[in-house]
Amino acid sequence: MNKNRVVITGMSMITPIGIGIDNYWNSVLKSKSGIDLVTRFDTTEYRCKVGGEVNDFDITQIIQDNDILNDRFDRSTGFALAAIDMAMRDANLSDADTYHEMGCYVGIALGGAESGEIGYKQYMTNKSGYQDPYLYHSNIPNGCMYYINKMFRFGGPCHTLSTGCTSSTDTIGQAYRAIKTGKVSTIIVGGTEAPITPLTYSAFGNIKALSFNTYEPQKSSRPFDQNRDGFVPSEGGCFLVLESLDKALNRNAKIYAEVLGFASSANAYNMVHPHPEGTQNIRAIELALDEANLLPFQIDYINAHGSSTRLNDSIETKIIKKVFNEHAYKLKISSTKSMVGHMLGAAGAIEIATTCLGIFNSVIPPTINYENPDPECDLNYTPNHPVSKDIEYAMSNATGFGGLNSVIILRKYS
Amino acid sequence: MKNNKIYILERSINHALGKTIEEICDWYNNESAIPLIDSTELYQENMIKMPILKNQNKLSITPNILRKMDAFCAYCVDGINDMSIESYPKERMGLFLGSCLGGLSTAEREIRILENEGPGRVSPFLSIAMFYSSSISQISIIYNITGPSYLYSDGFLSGFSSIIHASESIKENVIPISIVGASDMPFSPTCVKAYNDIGLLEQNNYVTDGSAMLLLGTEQYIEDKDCVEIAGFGYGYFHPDKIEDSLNKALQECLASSMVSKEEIDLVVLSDNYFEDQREREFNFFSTLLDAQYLSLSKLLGNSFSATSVQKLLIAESILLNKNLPFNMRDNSVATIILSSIDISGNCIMIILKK
Repeated sequence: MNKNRVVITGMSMITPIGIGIDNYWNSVLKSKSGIDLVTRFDTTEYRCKVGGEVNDFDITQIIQDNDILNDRFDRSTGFALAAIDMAMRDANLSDADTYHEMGCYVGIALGGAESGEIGYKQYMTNKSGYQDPYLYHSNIPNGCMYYINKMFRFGGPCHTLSTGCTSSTDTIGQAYRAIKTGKVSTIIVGGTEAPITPLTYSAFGNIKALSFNTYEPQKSSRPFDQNRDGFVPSEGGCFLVLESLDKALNRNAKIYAEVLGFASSANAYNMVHPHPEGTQNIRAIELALDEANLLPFQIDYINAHGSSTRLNDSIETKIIKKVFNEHAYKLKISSTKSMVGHMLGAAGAIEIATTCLGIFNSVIPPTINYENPDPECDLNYTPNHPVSKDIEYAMSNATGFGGLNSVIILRKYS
Repeated sequence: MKNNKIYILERSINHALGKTIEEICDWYNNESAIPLIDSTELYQENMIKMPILKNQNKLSITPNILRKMDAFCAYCVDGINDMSIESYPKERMGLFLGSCLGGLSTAEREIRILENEGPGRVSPFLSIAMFYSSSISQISIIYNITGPSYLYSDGFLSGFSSIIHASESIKENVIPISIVGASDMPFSPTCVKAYNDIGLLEQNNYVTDGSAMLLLGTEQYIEDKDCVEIAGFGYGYFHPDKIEDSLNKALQECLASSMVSKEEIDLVVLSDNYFEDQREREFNFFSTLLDAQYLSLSKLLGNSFSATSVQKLLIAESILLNKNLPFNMRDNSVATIILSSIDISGNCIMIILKK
């Protein structure tokens, strides 16, 4: 069996704090928050009124293909198409022959949530008079792949994975495996989500999973802080180009980082609450370290799930201490969600991309809004400002509703 | 590293025609007796001419559990209840499932509540049900399965995607055993409407709901059972104008990964759930390359979206095990079967089963 080394040679992001690598990374370095009051729908009757919106997203600025632009698709599909296009350009992969050999894996948790809601409301109003040939493709997760195929015509394996908040970590992990074993040499992989809709806010608001802080919207996502009160939904897309090291070297590609290990597990415990001891999350971390052939003390930086819910952040801290023992206090940790909010199916991808940029630029990204230490969260979360530091090995941890855990290990390529 | 062989160890099926292959195939022998239900009031209101066969099998799930999950998820749980998985190791058991539509019907019910009664009346269970991954999470909790769990949403291919990814993980020694399969509950107004509006459903005999589940594992779990091997699989991108290229890519990959020659294939189970001209082209592609028997199960099984291809695979397994030969076949010496599945998004997957 082949054992290819797998590297990341391109990326792009569409987030509430910036579109494209430069804009995004500059915002990270400035510790910017992308959270504000929601404008995509009237939140008067909703307890959660904050979200991370990508207000300056205009797909026509990125994609010029009229065949695609004349179609109607979900906002999440628009993020994916634009992010894939930008990532391919960043990786300098732009000819049709390359596309013919590539695979594409997409992670998405909710599918076309906004289109589904609008479509169903129109249906309720118009009943039999309502005809919408776009409804199918805009509503279900696989609809995104329909438009990706139409625009890019990737010839390798194309899959859509929907594993809640770990969706895009899982797609990146599976793409890594597919390249490592020689099934395919290049895969564009990531996640997309557009969850700022009335139904999403009703459902998660009613289980009190969201932040109800409206006084200072920019401070409502505050992972590991004593006053955290829930996660903040946000929208966007993030895609990475993964390819075999041999292929990347052959074409002199820029290499952001190398993927060393991946593992996932299920808590088998509760649909909403994380396991209090994090047993299966610990197992996933240990399996990923094992695959990477690393010992815990070798990890320099952890990009945590850090969702800003009371339970997640304290339990994740406990998990890190159990795996890393004394080294836990020497590690640098941060939560990307403090700046961009929780992008659900796209969260893993943006966190892995942020980790790659940290490795590439020798910078630990910050956890912003960290103002009041919580005794249960007593590690170094890189509070409020980025820190310059070489990162040799890093880990991205993702957990999700239903108790799914996924872990990716990265290292600086040299 | 040794590449493991993969076998079907357990299986279950839930189709409107029955919960066993025998029951379903009985309908085939009495084709005219398939009780097509001319839809509910809702569909009549929409003037949709599509025949619908609603699954009315009794589920082996307590009402308390049932009320927390969408029907597509309930079909998965019921399917696992119908398999014997207790004797297999749960800690390293994978859970790779597929669904095209997920909890769409629950989401639509809650949109109605949101519109009529306000956000405070939306069910707290929706936060769970609206994730497509709710099925794998519910199953992992109910059966204490802690291995890697993934939900593929690749349209009609979702079930086959779950099978090939689990097979790869087993081959690569990531896990030794995995539950795979698919389920769908397509009776939501916008789903039926959407498919009807693109003219797809009228191509099918009828639309139905259900599931098909399998337990895949390595040789060490076979014991004294008769088992069918998942010998190989292949993948192709399906451009509407170049179906043959993509089918050829999938077929070549499939033959190479299974080390089976074209001459060894005895039976082709066609995808046959797509538009008419593509059905013909799929048949023409295979018939010019392979001297085999052909089986179309679409008329029998209708279209239950992601579940249909896995249901076809289970009928193929049954043929290999000589448990059922209800079809008009030339002989009963079938030893190698290839199954093809094509999705509307433009992808196709083929799987080879060997006795």
